[in-house]
Amino acid sequence: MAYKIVSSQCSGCSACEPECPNDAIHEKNGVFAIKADKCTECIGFFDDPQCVVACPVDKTVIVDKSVPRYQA
Amino acid sequence: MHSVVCIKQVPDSAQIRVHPVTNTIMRQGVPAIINPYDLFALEEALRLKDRFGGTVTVITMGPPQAEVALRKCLSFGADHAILVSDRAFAGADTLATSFALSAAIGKVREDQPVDLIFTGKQTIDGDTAQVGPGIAKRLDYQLLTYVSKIVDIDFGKKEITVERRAEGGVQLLKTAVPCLITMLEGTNEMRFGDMADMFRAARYPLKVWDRVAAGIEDVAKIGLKGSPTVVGKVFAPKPRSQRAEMIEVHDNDPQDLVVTLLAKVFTRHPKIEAEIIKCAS
Amino acid sequence: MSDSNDAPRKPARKKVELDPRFLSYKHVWVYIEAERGEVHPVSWELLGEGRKLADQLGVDLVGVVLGPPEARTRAICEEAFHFGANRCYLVQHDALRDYRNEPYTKCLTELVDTYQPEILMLGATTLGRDLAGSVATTLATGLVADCTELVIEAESRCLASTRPTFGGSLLCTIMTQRHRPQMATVRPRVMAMPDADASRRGEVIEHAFSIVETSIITKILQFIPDDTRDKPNLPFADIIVAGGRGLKKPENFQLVWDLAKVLGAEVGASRPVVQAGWAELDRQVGQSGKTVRPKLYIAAGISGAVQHRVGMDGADVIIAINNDSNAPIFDFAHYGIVGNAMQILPALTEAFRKHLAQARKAG
Repeated sequence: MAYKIVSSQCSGCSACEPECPNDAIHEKNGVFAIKADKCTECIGFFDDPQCVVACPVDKTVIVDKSVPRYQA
Repeated sequence: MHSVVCIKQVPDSAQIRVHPVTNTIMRQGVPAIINPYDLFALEEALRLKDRFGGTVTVITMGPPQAEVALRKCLSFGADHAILVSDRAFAGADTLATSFALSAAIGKVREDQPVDLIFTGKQTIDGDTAQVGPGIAKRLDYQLLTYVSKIVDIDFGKKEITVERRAEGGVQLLKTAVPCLITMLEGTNEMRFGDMADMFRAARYPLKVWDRVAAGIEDVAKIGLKGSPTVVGKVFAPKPRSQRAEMIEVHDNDPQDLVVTLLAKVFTRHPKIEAEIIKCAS
Repeated sequence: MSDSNDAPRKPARKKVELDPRFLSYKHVWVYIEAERGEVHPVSWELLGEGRKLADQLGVDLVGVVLGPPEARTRAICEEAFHFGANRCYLVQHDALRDYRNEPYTKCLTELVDTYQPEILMLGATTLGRDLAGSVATTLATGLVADCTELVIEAESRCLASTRPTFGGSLLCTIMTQRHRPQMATVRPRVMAMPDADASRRGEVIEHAFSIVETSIITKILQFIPDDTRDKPNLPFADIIVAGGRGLKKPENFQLVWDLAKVLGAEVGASRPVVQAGWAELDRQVGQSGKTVRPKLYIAAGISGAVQHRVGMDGADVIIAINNDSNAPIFDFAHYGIVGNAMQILPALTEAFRKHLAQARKAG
């Protein structure tokens, strides 16, 4: 599993980008997106996923259920 | 005479489609256009150039794709174009944007004095109408908003006379040049670019400035860090609970349809009937 | 190491603290816009809204009145008390006789720096927008324009300002978390007009403002008032008949005028027909036109795109006539007729005329 950004709600403010320990977040036509294969849900780095903590917009960084849970 | 026109590339809000199921907007594939209000500003600057001579520079702050909008302005007849683009600007609200644009125009001013700065009344995506006043304040230019007509410019005395739309009337104002003008919509009509301008626009070596080239050192003043406002929630407006009550009559004869409609409206909303009688008398 | 498949805890979002410089900023301010002694009604609508916010915060509602040294200017403070203000800051100076950006910005920012409000609201009129943009930049604080909803967020006590974005197809809630005052502008007729209670009193605090006329560069040579006889006043009309592209030809727009005449209504139009020159810019209803809040809005041949809807869905009763049964307008109108507007409009005009004649006979 990984986290994903709801593109229609992302305001493109880039608060999440520098916070990701795996550098999985990048800009894509004006909004930001997370590369699912690089996302480790911050396990091994932080207690909480830093993109969710940093994102100012409500319910915009959410769990991407289509991807299997990250196994350490 | 040197005019700088600030433009912005915005998503064409008329083309925005809301996803029928998830109710989210489908941002992909929405065409980007020049903010419609900015075209009135550009046309006014080009008319002044026709009248008094000089050059017109267009400037925008945005992602690399904003180059398309700048080339369009060149094809209308603008002489120079500058794209101010840097990852550090991401997330900027109107205050941070006006800071960045003022710094960039400050740089432009170093190699050629700027007599007039034009901006559109507002943008269709941001609508705060704050960037124009913001730039004027930072560069210490006089501010004239909602200008409907430029009456005269006296370069000798460095004075300009304009008509400005106010509440309930029009103000005839005189102020000093240099000044910043936001143009009211509907005051002119964008010209068509001629072939020569179109070729020149395609080949023009666009200046692309990053933060440093635009003369910005203080990173805390731009982008997300320089923005006092932050978007906390984005959601679709909740549609009214139920659809309209459709008036149908067997053969849909206009007469019957209307009589049925009035009967329903007047019985359910007596205040409306009283209102109509009051207004109609 | 990772737990099985339950979703991870919902982490709390990073809490943004108020900048300590602004801890002392308190009370809700409304700029009372007056020109030539006449107050723009949006100021009273904002006092109605401001009263709610001040009560939620447990603070005072304050009116700000700027103008020339005349009795009328002071009288405006009394009116503000009738609409709910507890106090008014009053600045009287000749340089403030007619609106000019420079003296008004200097004065309002001086008041804010001196008396430190947490919220400052202005009407989104040509004056209000011009002033708000300059004041917000001078103070380097947040400004949200054309708000449709203002709420205090409980735990942060911040102002949550909601406004349309992407032409109205989405709404977004914007906050000014670290800076004060939190500034917002609201369009006329978006907020309800509160009732005036003439028994209400309040405290007038006069502020001495020192500025020299010769230091102000912009001069007003003349003011040409609009000839209001035929000037439409859509925002404050009680009944509006509006026409759109569905009328097919400019000549058919006359049918809208015929019905409006019988009803004593104002004539409105959608953006496409204004751009096609069928109606003047002042009659355009919608996001880039006027916001209206009539008791009755009759829309003929208007599809009801979201850019139109945001300007008129505050109407009490909306009747929509369109030949396309799945036109968006039928999703939010109260009553709908699927039919040819060029036939329905004359029939409606006739029916209303008959009804009014009977009502007058009976009345």
